Amino acid sequence: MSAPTWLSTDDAQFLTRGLSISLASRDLRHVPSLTRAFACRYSDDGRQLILILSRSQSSDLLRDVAACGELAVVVTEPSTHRTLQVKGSDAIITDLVADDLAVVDQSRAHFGTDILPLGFDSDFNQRLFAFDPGDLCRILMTPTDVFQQTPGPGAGERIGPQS
Amino acid sequence: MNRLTLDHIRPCLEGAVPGTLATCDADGTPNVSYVSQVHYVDGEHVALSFQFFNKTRRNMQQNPQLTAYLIDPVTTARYRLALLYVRTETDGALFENMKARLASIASHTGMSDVFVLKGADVCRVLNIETIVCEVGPPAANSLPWTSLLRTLCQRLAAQYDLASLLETTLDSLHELTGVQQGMLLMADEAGQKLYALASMGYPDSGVGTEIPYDCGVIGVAARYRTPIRINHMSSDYLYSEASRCGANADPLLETGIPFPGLSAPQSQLAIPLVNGQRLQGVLFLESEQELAFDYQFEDALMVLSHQLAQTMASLHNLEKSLENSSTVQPGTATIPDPNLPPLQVRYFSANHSVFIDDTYLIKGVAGRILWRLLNIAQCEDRLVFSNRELRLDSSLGLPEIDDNLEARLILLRRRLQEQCPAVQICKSGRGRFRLELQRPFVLSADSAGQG
Repeated sequence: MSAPTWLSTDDAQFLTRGLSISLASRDLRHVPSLTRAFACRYSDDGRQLILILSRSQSSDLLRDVAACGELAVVVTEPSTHRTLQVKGSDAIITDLVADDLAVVDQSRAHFGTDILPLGFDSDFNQRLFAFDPGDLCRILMTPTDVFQQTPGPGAGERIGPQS
Repeated sequence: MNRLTLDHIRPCLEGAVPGTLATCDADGTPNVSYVSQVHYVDGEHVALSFQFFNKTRRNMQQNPQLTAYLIDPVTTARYRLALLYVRTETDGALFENMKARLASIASHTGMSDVFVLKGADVCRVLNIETIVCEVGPPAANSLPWTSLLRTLCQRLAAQYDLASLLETTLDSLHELTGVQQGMLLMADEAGQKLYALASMGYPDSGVGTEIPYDCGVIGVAARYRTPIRINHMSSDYLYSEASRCGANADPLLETGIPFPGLSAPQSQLAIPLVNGQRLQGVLFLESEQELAFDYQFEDALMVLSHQLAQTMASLHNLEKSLENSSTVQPGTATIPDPNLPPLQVRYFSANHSVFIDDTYLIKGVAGRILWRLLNIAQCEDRLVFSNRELRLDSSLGLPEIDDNLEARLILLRRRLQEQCPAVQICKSGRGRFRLELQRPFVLSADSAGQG
């Protein structure tokens, strides 16, 4: 897998570290849909972002992505509030590949470590990441915009994709 | 099957886990942001904390259709809310309520300099979808509020005067809920400040201490007549940080009696006591523990507050209606011991303050009353008084309506018990009382203070 070239190394590592991931799309009448993803990774050539999520928990969003391809992804680190938002218009839904479940496991472990000091124990994290592997799918998207979204000065600033 | 409502998902609205919010702009580009507070307004509305001018903000103005995602902080149950943005409030009860909660959340998460409430975005809840049912442990055992309220209301209804009502309220809350510290404060006639009449759990009672409206959770609850609840210490609402709040603005504010509250409270809850259009006072509870008061605690005390405020008003009316017809209970007047040194009572008319043997006792209305009583005792050799004569005494200048006389007498009685046992006020019938003097006294006043 190649490292993405469309954002800094630090931000690229941040997105896939295993944090809180939320996805939004919208329907034909611009009503937004919203769900959470379990993990985030890059395509082999580093050009696309891949989100791994539950089909049954995300039916509206999957319907909207299939219809319009619009997707907004927010990744935040609860312990620091550091947040990035990535947007794209060519999102597509595919089945999992062999090592996706291992990525979800890594994501779960890191997320659990991050929220532990905030008072959320490993049971909470296990429940949040409970899923049937057969229910998971992935969404692929080529980023067209990356925004810094950490609360405070600079929030909303466009930081990518870098050329 | 009953439709899921906001009342079913209240634990998600406590701010323990930030919500996420999806919006969409006019071009059809979606956006996601975190929202610190999704606040319960009523069974059909939530308010979102508006902290930053950002893409979410712009999108909401263009397209009022929003989707929120909430997680139960205990069970991890997850819900999706279809929302319609209605309006933004930038002042008033809802705004102040959310501002205090946000300050508490910000303090807890180290974001005090960043999380500042600009507005409360009120949204109508169109639908609540369960994404994942409760899969975790059941919510922590809550107090059995329905039966507790029944007991509390029965006890309040059995009280016969204001003093016993206040005492019973605090004692019962301690006994039934385990809360350790609290106080009851009355609103003054001018509607600018509150004075403590009863307290529990503090080294000093603090009876007589005054809190201006707008100061801390108590003052904000009074000003906006809304419950204020914070579950993590916030310096914005600490009385010790407030430099006595409006002391500079109001030279008559009681500063001689320190606020007795905890120096580092983690949880605070202030409940306004409103009867009809009138604010009677504020019930204030606090704790050294975080998360001591949940939404059920607040809801239950809001129910109780109506009973408490109504009972206070009823007892006040009863006291006034019966004070002419009641008989004086027999009692033996205490004769001052002439061999003991006389108490030196000094009065300053500028703020109606009274000092006894150079120790500050009280000022304001209560100070004026005590000075008047002692003058009558000296000039007329009389130690028995009626509330009615005080109400009609033009030199006291009590307002004709809502004079709060009973409350002022309770305050005076408590201050004398704590500061000057040689002078006591004892009830001798409904609307009547007598002075008990163990020592002779000498009165001295500044030139304008002759009563």
